Amino acid sequence: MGMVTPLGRDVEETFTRAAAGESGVRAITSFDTSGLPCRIAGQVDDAWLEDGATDRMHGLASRGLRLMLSAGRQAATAARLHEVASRQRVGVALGSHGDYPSLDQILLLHRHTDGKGRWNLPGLARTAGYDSRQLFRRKPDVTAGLLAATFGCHGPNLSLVSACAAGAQAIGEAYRLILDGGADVMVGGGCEATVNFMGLLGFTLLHALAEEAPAPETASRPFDRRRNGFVLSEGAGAVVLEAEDHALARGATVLGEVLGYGDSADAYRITDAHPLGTGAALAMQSAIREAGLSPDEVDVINAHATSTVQGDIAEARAIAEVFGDRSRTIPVTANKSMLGHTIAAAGAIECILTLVGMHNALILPTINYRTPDPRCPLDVVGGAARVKEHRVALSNSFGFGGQNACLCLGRGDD
Amino acid sequence: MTRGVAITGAGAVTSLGRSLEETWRSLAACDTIAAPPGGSSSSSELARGHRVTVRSAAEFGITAREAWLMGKHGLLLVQVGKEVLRGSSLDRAMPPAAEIAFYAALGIVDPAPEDLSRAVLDSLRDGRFDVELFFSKGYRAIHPLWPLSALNNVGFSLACQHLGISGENGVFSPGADASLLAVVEAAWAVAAGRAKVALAAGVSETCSASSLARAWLCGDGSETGWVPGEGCAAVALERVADAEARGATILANVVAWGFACGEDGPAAIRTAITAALRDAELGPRDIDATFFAGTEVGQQENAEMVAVADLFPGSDRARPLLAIPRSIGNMLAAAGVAGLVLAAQALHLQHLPAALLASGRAVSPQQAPMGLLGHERPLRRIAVVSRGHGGQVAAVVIEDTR
Repeated sequence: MGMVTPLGRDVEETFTRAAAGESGVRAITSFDTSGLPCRIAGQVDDAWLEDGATDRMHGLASRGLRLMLSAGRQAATAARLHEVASRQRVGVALGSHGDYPSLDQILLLHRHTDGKGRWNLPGLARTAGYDSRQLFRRKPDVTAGLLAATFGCHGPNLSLVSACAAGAQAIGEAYRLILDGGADVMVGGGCEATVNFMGLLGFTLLHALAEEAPAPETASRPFDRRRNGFVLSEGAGAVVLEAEDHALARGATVLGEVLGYGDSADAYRITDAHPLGTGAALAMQSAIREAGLSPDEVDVINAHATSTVQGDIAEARAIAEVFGDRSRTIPVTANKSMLGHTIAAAGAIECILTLVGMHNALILPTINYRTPDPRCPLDVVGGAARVKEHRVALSNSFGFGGQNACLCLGRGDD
Repeated sequence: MTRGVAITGAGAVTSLGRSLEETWRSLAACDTIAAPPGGSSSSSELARGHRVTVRSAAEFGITAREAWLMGKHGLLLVQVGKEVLRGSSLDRAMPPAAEIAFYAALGIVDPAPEDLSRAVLDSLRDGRFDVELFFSKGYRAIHPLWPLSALNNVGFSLACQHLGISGENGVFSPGADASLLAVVEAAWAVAAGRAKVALAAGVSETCSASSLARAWLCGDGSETGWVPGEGCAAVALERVADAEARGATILANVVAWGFACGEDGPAAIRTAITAALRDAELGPRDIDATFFAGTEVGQQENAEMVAVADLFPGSDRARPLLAIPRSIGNMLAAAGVAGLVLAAQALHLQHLPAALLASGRAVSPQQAPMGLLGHERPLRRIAVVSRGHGGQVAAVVIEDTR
């Protein structure tokens, strides 16, 4: 497993700081935010990133790819991926979105388009200052393709673009590919690098971001009554998934197990989650069913919980739908309280933190949870991390537009 | 795992037709678009593209606001999805929404510079972007939901809503192999019993300024370049037993698949096809034709012909080889499933349109002495192969069930 987040350069550092209830949310320093209504985010230290793997990649190395390479390298090294002989049976499934054009690029492009879909392409090509590779960095599959090239993964190669559900869906699809015999080993995960002017602008226009908080560290407040939006963040998470017999045969260390995966579509409204959490409940039920378990056997829920008013309520209702009365007593944690929302990376990062928590008998805290929202009647692990043995956990990820994914996870040592 | 999965519906919108039937009719009439059509969209001779017309959103009960959010991608998904459900008769007795899966590959949704440039220009002070000016005035020129319209999955999610689908799903993007991945995921969903019915679809990039610029930078306009084709294709998949129980027409069965990824084109293609054949315990002799769905007309087509020449040695080289983009352009994210739809039609009608036959003009006879002039025996199985620019390759084998 590997990750790079605003809280740390790897899994250990991120988990340790999260367990201590630290926040990775700060005032944005990577660009001038003067005049923007939201000026905070989770940012990854540049020093933690890889430069780009090869000369060929260099021009295509978006920030997302650099984040993913860092996380992927950690996971590949820990799993001794290079020892797997049959590279055609090693694949990649990533949740990622290509780079969005910057404001300067849009202005530059504007000069070469007539506003009716027609370009002066030779003129654009001659323009000094415009790097035509920007158009390729927009392609989501570049990250998956280049990651595969870096680690010699010649098997299936998937790029998922289901917004906030993409990281979890990538791991879920990787799990299914292995289960169905399509691969022996898959690198699954997600990356996101949206902390830039255009990213912040987009979410600001949607009124989705937390704009009022006494301090950056307190802005992300899942399930708290004072929450008023999410905090944009960046990062990457990667896991090496492997068929159990394949892993055991080559003496790999098993760090956890995907027991089941469920996904669904809200098919409701594009701007809102289903108010009853119907789609989210369906995803959780499918994951539990696929794991061959009952809801009573789930010990912990790592919630999607972005800290938006309606989203958290819908998730609480979905949990109530699946767990009934037990929804008030099953521990629920929300990693985004510390990390912010890493969009396509969130599902992968939270899956990993869930697994590490299981092995440490520790449920990460939901910081800034001070005033419980009565509309979210859950046992939210607020304040400090909770020491508790747990063997089965759900990790939820729900995307803009209504795509829902849920991973049912186990310790892998049963 | 994919055995026992039937294709019971197929649909397409391509530059040759507003439905699969129209497209097939055009192909059968040897209709091609070797020259840029009237709909060619660029003032530059170097940027060509083949556009399709989408039916009115109102026909599908889609509001103007939703239509704007979905863009052409989402509207095409709904239009073709409806065609597939109608063709398979599933629309008469739809399973519960949660029991229908939907996997799709979507071409990149590009932000049009004009979506933002007006606001940016209105926010310039002394030639520099002024954030305060933007938030006091400039931003009003931007559609309030513009950020959503730039997300790849929004058109897909709205299509789910309008097609009545809430089961398992995924959006892949944007390589030419991606929609065959969608087909395989959909096939597994029904084979494993997680879904009663699964749709698999692909939608190309729209011929926007950005996509044409990207294509141009990829080599469009050169002697050996490629031409982007707009469009969408989709199939409905069911377990064979379910399809037979409801008396559905089975167009073909999905019997095998294989994937590969690598910079060496012929090697990756060989690997994907070999994996598919192994999956179904088939040999090269069992494949009667090969459809290449994501080819470039020049160099990449050569790679595919070299790969097939290696895979089908000796007398088996006489098997027909078809290159879909020759007639409908390279539909990128839609290419794989477009090839599959045409292959299923070819099996069902026992006919290979001459318009799709690859020429092999740039390949030596030793490399690819393919039989390019039709076939002499019944078509039993077709391999559909699609390769993305990133080196990702997917291959799916379908077979006639009669």
